[in-house]
Amino acid sequence: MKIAIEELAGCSGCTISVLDLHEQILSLIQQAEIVYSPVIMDVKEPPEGIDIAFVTGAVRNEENQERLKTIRKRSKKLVALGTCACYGGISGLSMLSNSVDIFRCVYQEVETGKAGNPLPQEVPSFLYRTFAVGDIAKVDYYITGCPPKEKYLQTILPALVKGDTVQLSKKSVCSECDRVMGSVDKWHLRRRHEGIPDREHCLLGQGYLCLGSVTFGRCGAACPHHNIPCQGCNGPSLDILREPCRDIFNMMIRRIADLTGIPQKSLEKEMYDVAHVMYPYTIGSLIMEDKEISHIRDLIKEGSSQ
Amino acid sequence: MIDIHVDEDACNGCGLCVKDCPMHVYELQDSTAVPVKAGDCMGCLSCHEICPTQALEHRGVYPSRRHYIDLRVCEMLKRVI
Repeated sequence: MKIAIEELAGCSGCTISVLDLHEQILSLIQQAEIVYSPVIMDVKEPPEGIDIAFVTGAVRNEENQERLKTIRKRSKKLVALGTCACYGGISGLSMLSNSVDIFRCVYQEVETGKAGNPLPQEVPSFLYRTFAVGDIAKVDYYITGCPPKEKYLQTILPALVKGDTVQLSKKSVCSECDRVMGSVDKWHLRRRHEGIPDREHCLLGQGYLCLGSVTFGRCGAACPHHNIPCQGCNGPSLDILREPCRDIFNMMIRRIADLTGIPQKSLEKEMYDVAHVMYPYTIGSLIMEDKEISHIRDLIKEGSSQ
Repeated sequence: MIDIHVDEDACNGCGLCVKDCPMHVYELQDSTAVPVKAGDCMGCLSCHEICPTQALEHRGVYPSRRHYIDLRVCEMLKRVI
């Protein structure tokens, strides 16, 4: 059994989360040899005859696209590992500006850059948009998470290698959260920096935009546990993905409206920075963009025309 | 007969199903939704849509065939581990 881990437009955190299996990785590599992984070993190209290839990161430039094509051809099963591979992840946010502005910012305008610095000419050029891996290649399994938590990888990876199936909870972050709903009488929208949230009660009920109810679980509600509203890093919950009339933005608005009695229209007006607050991890996904009620198309159009 | 099952570990007692149900099937008891009048349920599944924790399960309800399906979504759903 040969496995490979390919890196596309991502941060390598998903590969590190495989290493986070700690001593269990020893029993994994007894059954499966890791033949290619640019982050953890020095092999330049994926060999032929890979049994399971894990792909992390989104497809943002021509090189990513080529690498994805190659690894798909050379592997029997392809697994999208992590939210970038499943839904585009934060690489998708680069669609809110154009490549010239991004290069100018990174090479010249940040604190460590200088105004006269040359812009890179010989790097692979951007595709016209970000893609999730599943948008342009056949994917056999999806494992979401930013990164996927080692607690679940400990169950999933050995089963994948053996060819077994696993039964894990597929519910939302709220189902793993220990908070209870408090009073919503004086509900008003609060930015993250406003006040310190009460630890006992639901963050959404307190006015913070916590995406727990629209986000796939598997993180043990780690952020709400530490008093931080959920940012949606596991990608959309499966009911949002499944139903054509549900989207992250509209279900958040509906839940707040039902909870507080405030009309949906006035809540929609109150929302701020929708791209970064509602869609930071899913803006690059064609599947999420193609929902008729999705706001992603408008956000990209607005962002890239500025 | 519709059998309503509430996953008590998942339910966070937000009460959205109590507010949302047109037939007033649910009640909150000790911060958990309880289907006290399950016999009144008409199977609209509106509570499924609003439940933030996906704690509800209705046995014996068969939603009508959808008018719209996205094959890519169905393919992806099958493959999420």
